[in-house]
Amino acid sequence: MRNVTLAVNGKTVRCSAGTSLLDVCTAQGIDIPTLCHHPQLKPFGACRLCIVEDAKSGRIFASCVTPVAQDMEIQTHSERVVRHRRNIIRLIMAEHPESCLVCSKGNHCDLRKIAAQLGVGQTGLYPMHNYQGIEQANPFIIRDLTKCILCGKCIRADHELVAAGAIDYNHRGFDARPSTLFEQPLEKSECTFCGTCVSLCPTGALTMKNVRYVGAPQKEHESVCGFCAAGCAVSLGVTDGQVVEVTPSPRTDTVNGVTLCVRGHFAHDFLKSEHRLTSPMVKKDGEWTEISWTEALEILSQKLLSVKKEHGPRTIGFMGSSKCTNEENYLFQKIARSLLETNNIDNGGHLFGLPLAAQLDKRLGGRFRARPLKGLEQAEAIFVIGANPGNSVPVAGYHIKRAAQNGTPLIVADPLPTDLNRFAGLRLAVAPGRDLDMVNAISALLLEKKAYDASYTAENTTGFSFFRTGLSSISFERASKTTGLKLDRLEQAAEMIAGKKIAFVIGQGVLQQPKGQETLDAVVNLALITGSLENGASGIYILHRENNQLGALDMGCAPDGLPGRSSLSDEKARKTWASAWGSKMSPDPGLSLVQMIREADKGNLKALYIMGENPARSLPDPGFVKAALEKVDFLAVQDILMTETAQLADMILPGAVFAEKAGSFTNMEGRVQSFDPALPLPGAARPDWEILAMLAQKLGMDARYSEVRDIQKEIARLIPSYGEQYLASPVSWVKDAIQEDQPMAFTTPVCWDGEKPPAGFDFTAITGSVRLHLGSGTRTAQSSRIIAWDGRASIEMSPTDAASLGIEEGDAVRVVSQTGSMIGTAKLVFGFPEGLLRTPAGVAGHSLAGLLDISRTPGAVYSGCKSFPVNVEKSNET
Amino acid sequence: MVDRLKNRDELITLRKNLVAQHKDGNKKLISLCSGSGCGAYGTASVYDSLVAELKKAGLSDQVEVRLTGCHGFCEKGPIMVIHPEGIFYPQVKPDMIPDIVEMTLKNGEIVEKFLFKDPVSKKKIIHEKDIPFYKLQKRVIFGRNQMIDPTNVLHYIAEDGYKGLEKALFEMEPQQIIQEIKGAGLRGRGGGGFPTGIKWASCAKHDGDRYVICNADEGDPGAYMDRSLLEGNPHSIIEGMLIAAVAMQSHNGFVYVRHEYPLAVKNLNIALKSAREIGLLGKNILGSGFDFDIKVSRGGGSFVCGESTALMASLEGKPGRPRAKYVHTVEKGFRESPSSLNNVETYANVPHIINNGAEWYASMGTEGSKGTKIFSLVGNVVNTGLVEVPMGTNLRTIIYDIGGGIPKKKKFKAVQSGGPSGGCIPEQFLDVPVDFDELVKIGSMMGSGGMIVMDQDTCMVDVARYFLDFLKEESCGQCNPCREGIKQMLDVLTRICAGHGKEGDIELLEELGAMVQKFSLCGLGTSSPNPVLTTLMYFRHEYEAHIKDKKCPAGVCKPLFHYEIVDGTCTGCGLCARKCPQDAITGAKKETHVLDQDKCIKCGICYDACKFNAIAIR
Repeated sequence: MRNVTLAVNGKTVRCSAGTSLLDVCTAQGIDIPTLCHHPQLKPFGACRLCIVEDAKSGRIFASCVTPVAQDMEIQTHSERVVRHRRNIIRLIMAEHPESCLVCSKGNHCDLRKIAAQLGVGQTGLYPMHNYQGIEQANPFIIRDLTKCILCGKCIRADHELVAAGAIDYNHRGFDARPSTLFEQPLEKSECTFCGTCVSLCPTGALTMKNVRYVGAPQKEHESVCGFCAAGCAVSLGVTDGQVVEVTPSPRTDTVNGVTLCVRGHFAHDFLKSEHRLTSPMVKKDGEWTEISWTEALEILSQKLLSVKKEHGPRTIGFMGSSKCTNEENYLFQKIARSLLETNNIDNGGHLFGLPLAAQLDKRLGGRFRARPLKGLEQAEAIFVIGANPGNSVPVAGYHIKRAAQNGTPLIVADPLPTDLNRFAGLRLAVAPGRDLDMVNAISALLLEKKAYDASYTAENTTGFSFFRTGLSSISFERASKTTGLKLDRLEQAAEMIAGKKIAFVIGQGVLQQPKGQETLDAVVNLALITGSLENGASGIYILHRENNQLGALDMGCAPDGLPGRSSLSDEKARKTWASAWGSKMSPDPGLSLVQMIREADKGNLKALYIMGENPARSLPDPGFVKAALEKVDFLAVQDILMTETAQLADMILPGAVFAEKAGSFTNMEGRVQSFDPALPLPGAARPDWEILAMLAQKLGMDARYSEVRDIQKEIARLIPSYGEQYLASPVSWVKDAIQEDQPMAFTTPVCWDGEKPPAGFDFTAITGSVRLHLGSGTRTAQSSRIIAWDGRASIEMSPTDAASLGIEEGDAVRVVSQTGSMIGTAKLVFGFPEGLLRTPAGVAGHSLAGLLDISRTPGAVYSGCKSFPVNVEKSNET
Repeated sequence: MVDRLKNRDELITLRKNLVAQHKDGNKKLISLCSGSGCGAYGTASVYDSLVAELKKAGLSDQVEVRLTGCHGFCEKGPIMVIHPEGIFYPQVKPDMIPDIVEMTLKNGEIVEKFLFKDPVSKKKIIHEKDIPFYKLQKRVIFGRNQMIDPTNVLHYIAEDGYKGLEKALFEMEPQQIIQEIKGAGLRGRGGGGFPTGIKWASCAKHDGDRYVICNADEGDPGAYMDRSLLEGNPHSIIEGMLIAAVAMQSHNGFVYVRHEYPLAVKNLNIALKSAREIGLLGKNILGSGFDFDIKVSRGGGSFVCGESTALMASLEGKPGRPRAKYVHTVEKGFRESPSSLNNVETYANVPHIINNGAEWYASMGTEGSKGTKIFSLVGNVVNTGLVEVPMGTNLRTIIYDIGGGIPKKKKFKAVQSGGPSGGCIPEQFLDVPVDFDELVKIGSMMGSGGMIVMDQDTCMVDVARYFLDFLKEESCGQCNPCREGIKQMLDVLTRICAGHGKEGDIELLEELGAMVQKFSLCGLGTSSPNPVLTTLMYFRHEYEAHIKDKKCPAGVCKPLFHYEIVDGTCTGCGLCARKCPQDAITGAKKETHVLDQDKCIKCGICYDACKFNAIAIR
């Protein structure tokens, strides 16, 4: 790009043409006040504070929106400019209310800061108050638009960053205000309460509700959000050892930028839950008794060792956590494998398709592990299959929506309407569980039209001809019938992606269905023929559910997977690890999460150590699970809350939340982010890694870990995909581990005839993530704000179905499956397909899990919990 | 209706035939103005009785009655002109029709009593062309209005319509057209006065789907030339846009027109439909292979939507708010594509330039401003209406010679040019030639051509307050200087007018005015302090009287004056006492009356009623 030379306050500066004057001045260390400018929003030029003067032409420019020009002689603080900057602030202050004095924005208020800098106290103007009502009916955001200075950041964030479309300008001139459609309260608008507007608001016009502390937090602490797999960088505002607010990190190289979602902003209340576990306890005669750590570790180690000795290593189970840190999961599985010689180790990600993700990594030969979400905005087309990122991984949803807004073709395949629909160029309302036929049909159409990347497939893949032959026999008529999609819709989809490098976004709708593995394979096939994998701006994006699902997998917290995603069945890998740890390594395939429960039920599991998981709530068929857990001789639960599972335990070990400990998480992109403790530990609670380190020592492990860094050093040394960069920087990326002997191969396309629904069930329920809760809702339910907003499960259904059943909006309804039933509130959704229901996952007190059958799939991997046959009826219960 | 014209020759033949028909000398043509002004005065009923009378008299076949667009002389509507003689009857009422039909149309006599009486010479004038209001104008753009029924494309074609398009399509290269417009020195008539040719050239330079957009969001109070053009001669706008489209190789056009202009919208839509039907718009225009079509988009009545970027935002369906123009709309405008936005009157000029050449056009006007300009002359002036004069005509000619001066022998005080954000020009500048540059020199601007004349009874502080109130309502509210600066200045002015002005207010107005002028985001903001700053420049003493003496010299700001009956001048006629609604005036016959200040509500009835100037403002 062309370079431009200009003078800034007398100093000659060179910069590339197109740079804004503001950026140039800022780079020179010159402080120019702004109220409406934000680097992540498009330049706007509303507040006019950033005005500078070109001494040469005498012209005045708003520096944020003016590109540099050759030979400008910019004066940033000339007498006239400073005087008028003060005038603007005087005017704003003349409009501002007296409640400024007691505003909770305090020293975070940009207006206050700039007024102080410019020395504006008394305005010397006539006050022109512009009183607006305060809106605070919703549990999250207080809107006091009297304090609004019309910088437009909230509106631009709503449009440009999160693409919610909830607010825009209303009225004109002095009466102009940001407003929802028809000035409805936020809760009746499209607002998702992501809180991005609150983070950006320079004044107290938008603030978080239920702030226990008025004013700016005592300190800000960089951390990583503990909910979904997006791994947003957050800043924890800490006062008196409590997190008083959560805001996006000021860092710019993050996955989320200045956005967060409703969970990230508001659901971190669990950090200061009053129900936290604060002491190790054992159950004596059905009563909990507090004990010391020494006693606890003594009992725990003795129990584990005695069970190993008595019943053998295969009777001991370890459930690690997709929410705990990499270091903790590493140490946890190391204890299991090296000290207790069992491979019965898994984590909660099992329920959310983690085994499939592991398979995918194998199929791609360890390639493309880092998949930054920002690539979505550079992809040539986006194909979302079975994913509702607006609810599950909202930040991924923002990326997709932004891309679509900027013209990237978007196809959304989902049986149910999602909030991506209004951005989609094509919506494929595929029949539940039939994505496999849809993807195969699209691949076949591309092959038929020769609209595939022939040179890429020839050079980089194997098995293409088999694949082509397999697909050539596909019956489009059948595919159209099974998927419920007219052939022209499929053709339209093929047309939209033909010749393009596609970003595939895969959600639980694929991962949790009976043919999840086959469907994912079909997606990989489609990605291979279109050559979509190579480019960093396309490829396959798996929307993992929990924050450290991928990390738990990387750390070997899986029955068949050793750390670094090497396979237990790989003898070489086994040997490597055994020698690294100086221990034996059992080749016996371990039990998966559901298998452990099944074995417990059979009485074959004698000891179970659960760290940070709540299977009694999250697993299907809780009655069965609880009964099975009761049968375990010794159940130790390490957690932060007295969960349903903890209540069944023989021993409880109080762990720590992420904000109280050091460690790292690996997000769905493959981004490894380290963090330090921000909060003191409650009572006698200990960081989970510390508990594990103490236990390891007790069990006789040679290695000593006195700080997290010690574990990290071992990981860096032994897991090449983490390696040195993981030690060197708080943010690093999982490296590929390409096995050259494993080229990417096509899989033979398979067909599936589907399951015949049992008689007597007229509806198909589809489980869907909800925006406010995560997983089974154990943590989000600790937030009074979240519960106040969404304490009840909404059963979404078609108004037509509802009418035929005499159900009205807001009625209590009972959903009955073969296994159990749940109560929810009917929500009639216009355009919702008939015969389907959406049942929400994770709403406290409304156990969706009760509807599901844990014995549904007998294999090692639990699947098929995405959709299932049900009936629905009006209920008198509440 | 005529069949779709397949090529240029068919259009030429059609025009020839139409002109030949028109030259049929025996037939009379009555041009009856049905513009919005005359329409409001009752053109419809005049038309009905005219048709009925003609039928009764058996003249239906010999007389054609044509409902035309605005003739411009709105003060005297409804206006009737009988051609070919050009007999002019103003303020026609249905009860005048029998006489006109009987005498003028049947017997060829003039109805003396209906004739226009010149207020200056007090003489009756028969022919339109002799009326000073028309005589001193040069009606290049506006002249065809009265010969055309805007709903009939053939009338326009007969008046050399679409000749410019022919030439542009078949005889000129796009570059030549732009060169011609540049050579003519045409400057944008919407207010900014940007050279049209340069705008077209830079739009043509940028790649993309170019758009040709017509700004018909005329929002200045009292200005209505664009409306009259759209209502009266929509095809001239369409032709202008077509030529622009050829010049910039654009295929899509928009007319952004105010929702409050229903007749303009209606006539424009009719014109677009017939232009399409006849093959002058749409695909393969006149067989040339060139495609261009125009859509009409109606604005919601926001003043700021006349600003180019706000207009385009509104056109895109977004809130009508301007953006910073560091990237010009000719590069990235509507839908991020190169867009050329011109005003209605600008487009109306284009066919004339192409038809008659740049040289002809440049021969009119001043050094920097070529051609003619239509002004909407309103306020305290005898002949209100639309006035088209060559650029450079001075204010005195426009106000006194064409406009007939100030009514009721009152004194001229100021003329506000350039719409609400223009400036107030005092008497000392009456001889300044009116063009883009000269007006700026004296603190005002051309704007879209509004001209509001004010007499001695106008309070200049109140005028500034009034315009600022308008601008406060119309500010989009996006940038702080405009949104809050105007509001604060308005608050100050309101206080001054209410008698609460204090020392320092004038300086505050100047300080804020300078800031708003320099720091605002768009043209609305930067020009908004003009009414305040120019009145401060030329009528500072009135502000000072308000603030220091607590007096409103013009007797407008009620808290700041009272009426008094002047001893010695009062004849004791008692007229004021009879008219006073408050019975505040008493006095014996032929003796000086007395006004009870406690009862007086300052309604001003006595002041207006007194024939002896015995009531004074104090």
